[in-house]
Amino acid sequence: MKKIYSLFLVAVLAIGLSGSVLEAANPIKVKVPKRAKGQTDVINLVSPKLDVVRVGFIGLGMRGPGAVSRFTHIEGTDVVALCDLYAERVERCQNILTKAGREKAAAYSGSEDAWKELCEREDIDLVYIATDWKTHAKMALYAMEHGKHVAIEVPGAMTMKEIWALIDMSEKTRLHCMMLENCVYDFFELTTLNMAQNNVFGEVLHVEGAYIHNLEDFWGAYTHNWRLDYNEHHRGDVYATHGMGPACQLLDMHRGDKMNYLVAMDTKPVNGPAAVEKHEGRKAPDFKNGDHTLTMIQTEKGKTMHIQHNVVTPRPYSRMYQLTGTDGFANKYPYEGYCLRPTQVSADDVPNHENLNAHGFVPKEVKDALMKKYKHRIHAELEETAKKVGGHGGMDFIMDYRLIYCLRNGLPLDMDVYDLAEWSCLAELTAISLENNSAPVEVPDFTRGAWNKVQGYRHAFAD
Amino acid sequence: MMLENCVYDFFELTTLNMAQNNVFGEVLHVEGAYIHNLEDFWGAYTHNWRLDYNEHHRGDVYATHGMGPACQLLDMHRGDKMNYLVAMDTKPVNGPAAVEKHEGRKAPDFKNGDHTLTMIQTEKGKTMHIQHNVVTPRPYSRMYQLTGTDGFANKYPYEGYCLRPTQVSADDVPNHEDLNAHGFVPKEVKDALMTKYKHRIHAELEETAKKVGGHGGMDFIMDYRLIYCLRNGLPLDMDVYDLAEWSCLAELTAISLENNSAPVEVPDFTRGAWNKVQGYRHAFAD
Repeated sequence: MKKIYSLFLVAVLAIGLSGSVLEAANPIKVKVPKRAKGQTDVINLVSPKLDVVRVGFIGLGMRGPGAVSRFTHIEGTDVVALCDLYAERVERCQNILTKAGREKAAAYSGSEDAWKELCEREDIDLVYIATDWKTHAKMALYAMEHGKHVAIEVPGAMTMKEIWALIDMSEKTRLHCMMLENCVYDFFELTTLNMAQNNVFGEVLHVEGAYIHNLEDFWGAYTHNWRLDYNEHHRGDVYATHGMGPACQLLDMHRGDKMNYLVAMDTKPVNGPAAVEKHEGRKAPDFKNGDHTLTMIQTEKGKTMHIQHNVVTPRPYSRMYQLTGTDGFANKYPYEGYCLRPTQVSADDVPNHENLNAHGFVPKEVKDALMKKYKHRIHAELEETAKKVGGHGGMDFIMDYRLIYCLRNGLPLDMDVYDLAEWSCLAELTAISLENNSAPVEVPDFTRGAWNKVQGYRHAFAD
Repeated sequence: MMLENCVYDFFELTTLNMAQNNVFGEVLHVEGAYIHNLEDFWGAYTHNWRLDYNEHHRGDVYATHGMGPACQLLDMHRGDKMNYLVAMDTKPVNGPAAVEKHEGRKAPDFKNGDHTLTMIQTEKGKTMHIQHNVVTPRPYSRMYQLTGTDGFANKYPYEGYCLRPTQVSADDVPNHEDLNAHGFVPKEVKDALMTKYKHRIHAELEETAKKVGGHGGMDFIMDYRLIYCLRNGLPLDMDVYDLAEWSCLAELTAISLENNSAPVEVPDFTRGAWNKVQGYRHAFAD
């Protein structure tokens, strides 16, 4: 899929390095579609309050059933319809509903197009899409065309074309289009975000994120092998959102900063093709996805991001959540820790205040005291229920709860379609960089001019 | 020979030995860094030469502590070579603040970004990730890390290995059934592995090194090996091409940074001999 991009690659080869004059290389530009006349951005989009949010679920494989279950714990929701290719999966979720004392939902299954009928129903406010990656965008577009808000599993879209289609549709219809990124609600991440927003780390300069999760024991769990299949046919960071989400929120992405360009690099594929051989009994010499993929992103405000991807080698799980600030540092994997100047912390708030130093991790008691002081309001209100209801330790419940809370209260959602775009665009943009010897690739301003309208990322509340 | 001490540190040389014995399978990706908050130390440099250098030079000016151990894992110019690199940096904030604090003047043209990142592609399809930060409050880290097809090793903030059970014999480690390809091995397993794969150099020198000291002993080992090889007429542990490969980031990253992170070729410093030797090894007289 060689497209022609307007590019100016500097072939900086073995030239005399001292005294050479080079024109600054311009990043490869990707197309930015023009907005339709009269169409405006959806920054801080709000929609009319909903007393009860009526939901239709499409995709009841790996993530769907858990979501249905979580929704039975969220008041103000009505599960109206369930859809999956397989009737047994719909039945299983019906049981989840009835066990929770809820009415059975309308059932759709048995055909590749049954989901369309769900989207056409007049009695649904929100379509919740938890299917394989390739179907996310097309289902979301259809649902929005039929007047429904959409919540889409990650990544929300796999190509720039899909991303722009979702943005245009959301801007045109003024409907919410939110990606179901759960990691931004995890306990260390949201607490640390709160600390960052309270200037505990000074100015945040560099952030990291990743999806490092050895899936070698899990490929078989994906219906029709769709996930390993996707990795086999696509180079680049195809699954960046768990790392990008928390990192972008720390940098107030399109709420005061924007990504300018990225460069990507990958290792050869070794374990990837080996996984195909093991699971499918055939050699995969054209396996595209490098075993380990790295990306660096430059922002307008002079910050940097480093994002990694590896789903095939033996490694402990890591989302590489990390921030480097002028006055402090936070790191999550393999062990949670903070490093702060004593000036950033009051002696009233933490024990061993004299033991703090700008060269090492704070002691456990200090960390615990800090996390207590800076517990996010969302966690203060939801943590107990979240840990009971579960879902990756609670963050899934909080994600669903906040979606419904904001919809019911007519508030902006915690994540908008531009977040979906920013966190998902690495799939195609890194592929372009990789196909061009890691050349810089411009990251478009998905808001088309509104990235600086809001100053600072905040969660909305009804009071 | 460049006096790179970090290649002799205990976790690094042991892990290198493990890698050379295929414990991690094929090593695909390595990391390294110099992350060391120097804000309390600038004054110790005669005539302020170090802060001065950072003020006037953009790029990863001090890459060798990270590059050394990483390049040895990849058999650099002993079977692999660096092809090109890309670099990126943050704006300078604490850097100029340090000048203001130490010299009482503003430094609006301070060149070195507070945090600098580099990615390097090799001929054999491996990658390296190298970072540099000497100005923000962070725990010390050289980011020593390797990702292999069959295992993983990481040093900062805590030393650990992750291995497939197949890579380790039940005779060598306790809790062999507890190993899994998803988490760090337990402490007893790590200790057993480091005992089994202790490098000959450490076996011979560790005790004396820890007594004599110098960054925990690695400085002594470095000097000892230099003299040992010279006295015995052996190849040194590090040659002029290592010096070149580990030091070239200073200028090459600056070029990339001045060009919106454009890829910059890393020359073959051996000019044709990078594949002559297969695998990095330390020389001994016997």
